[in-house]
Amino acid sequence: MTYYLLRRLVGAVAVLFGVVTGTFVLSHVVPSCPACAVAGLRAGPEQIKAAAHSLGLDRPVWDQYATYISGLVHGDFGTSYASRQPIGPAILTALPATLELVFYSFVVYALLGVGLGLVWAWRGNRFESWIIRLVSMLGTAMPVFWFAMVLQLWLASRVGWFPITGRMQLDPPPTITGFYTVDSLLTGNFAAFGDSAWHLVLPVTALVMWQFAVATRLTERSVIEEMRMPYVRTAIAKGASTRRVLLGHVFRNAINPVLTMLGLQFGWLLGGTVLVEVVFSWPGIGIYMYNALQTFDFPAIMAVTVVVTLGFVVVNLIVDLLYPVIDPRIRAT
Amino acid sequence: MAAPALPARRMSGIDLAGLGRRWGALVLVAVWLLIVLLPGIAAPQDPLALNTSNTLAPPSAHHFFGTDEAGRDLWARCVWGVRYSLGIAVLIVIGAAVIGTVIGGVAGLFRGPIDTVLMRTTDVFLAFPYLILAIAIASAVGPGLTTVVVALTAVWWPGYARMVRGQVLALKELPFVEGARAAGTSTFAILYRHLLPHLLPQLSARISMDVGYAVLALTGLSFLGLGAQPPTPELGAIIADAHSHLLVAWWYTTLPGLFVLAAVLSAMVVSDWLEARNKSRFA
Repeated sequence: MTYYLLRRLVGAVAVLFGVVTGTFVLSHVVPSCPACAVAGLRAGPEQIKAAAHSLGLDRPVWDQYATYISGLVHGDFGTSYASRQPIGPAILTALPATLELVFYSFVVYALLGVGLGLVWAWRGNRFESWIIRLVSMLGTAMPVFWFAMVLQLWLASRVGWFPITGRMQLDPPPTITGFYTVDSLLTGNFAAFGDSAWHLVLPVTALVMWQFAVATRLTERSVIEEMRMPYVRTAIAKGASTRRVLLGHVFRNAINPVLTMLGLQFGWLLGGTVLVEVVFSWPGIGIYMYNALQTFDFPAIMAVTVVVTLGFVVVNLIVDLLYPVIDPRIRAT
Repeated sequence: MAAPALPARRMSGIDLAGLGRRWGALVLVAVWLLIVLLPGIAAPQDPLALNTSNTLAPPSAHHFFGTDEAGRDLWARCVWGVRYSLGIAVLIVIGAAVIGTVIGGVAGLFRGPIDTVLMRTTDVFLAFPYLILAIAIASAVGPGLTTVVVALTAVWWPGYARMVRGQVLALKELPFVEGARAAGTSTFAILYRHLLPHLLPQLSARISMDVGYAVLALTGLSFLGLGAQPPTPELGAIIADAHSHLLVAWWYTTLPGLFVLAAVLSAMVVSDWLEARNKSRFA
């Protein structure tokens, strides 16, 4: 058990080290001339040299690597090429907006995806299953940003049911957690809560639809597989109700692959949020990354990459650590 | 592993569901091939011709899909755009499959330190959310279609490496591999001549599925401005341009996406057919 936990932890740290090294290579070795981008189009060789010096790009690569790593360990993501401001605080301001969006999407995704996957497995080839299949398939086959734009065009602009862009129309509540929905409830501002929840509907819908098929299909497969086990036949023969067989017996045994999938899907959501944030002008790290892309602001792009990947690795680690809690079979090994 | 076999609808000994699947898949492949190879037939108009007197015109008999902000025919742009999107997606996925098969195959056959190094590298690639990694790579290389190919191949091969390694590990214990080794066949010849034929059915089903996903990823990168540069008609770039005209031109946003949807759904149908074929052949 302790060995299992330790192995997962060491593995996660090793992977993170690889990730950080990878982003360093991408930002310091691959770009042909980052200093030229900073110095501007009209810069001569002297200006480029000066820019390279002020960015520390003229130092040996190993030296730069050491600075980069020690900076990251201390929470310093470096300075943006574009704004000349430290990147860490900028990401920190944008992060709650993204986390709020991803959090709600993830909750809706997990509940709806797994729930409908169960319905699909249970109802077999009937009408409900076909609808679930169809919706899942369409969601997967659409570009997420296009679906977001279609929602924005028809449900927000044409019909006017939802706001077109942004996180909030009213004044945002005072920052406590950074989640507008939570902060507005904590300060008793229900109008603000309604407003922020309203703004969440379309972006969350787009993100949930995107990977919907993965959740429904995997749950269905894994449940169907488990239903062929002899113990299920025994339970049915004993006269247990469908609900008891499905939720009490089958689902508990079928949940491992579903859990792994949910951990991985969190990463997809983190990636997809960049596209959805751009469509809805959602002021999170996705927009921050998008703006950095427009100015070739490598340190900012890589900082977002590291932060997002860190979140992804941590979530998968949590999933790994959850297995023994949920499944006694793993605890034994 | 396999889901319980559904009773096939059989009529006078012919598997109708299987036949429908096969013909559906083949017709779809033929239609897309035609569009990709001969876009001029589906869209006689020039996708690049400007017409400033007819900008943002709604769909009409002359312009099925309407026109964009420069008066270019959107139907033609979509038809030519799908050519880029599908063509590049196929390139990316096949490149990734080749790299992944070689790396996964070598790792599975040699085991030991080579296996460890290759698989830990794969793990690092898989640790990134793939879209974020693709964005990071594309931004470092600089925007353009070549960049997108590099970035997406780089994020796609690890999946294949893992899959192939798993299969090779299972296959290499079988007597025919042992026999080949006893006969003195080199490791690469074993991989190429003896193992590859066993890997191909699964690989092909996955490749056709991934072509659909690659189209989606590709349009995503183009939407962010990392892929095709104007005036190249690429579906993601077209949709990105449409975003600034969202409120005045519904067709500009809505219709090009349907092309992507159709392409990805077709990839799913083909992959479904390949998978069903594998199952009936090897079950």
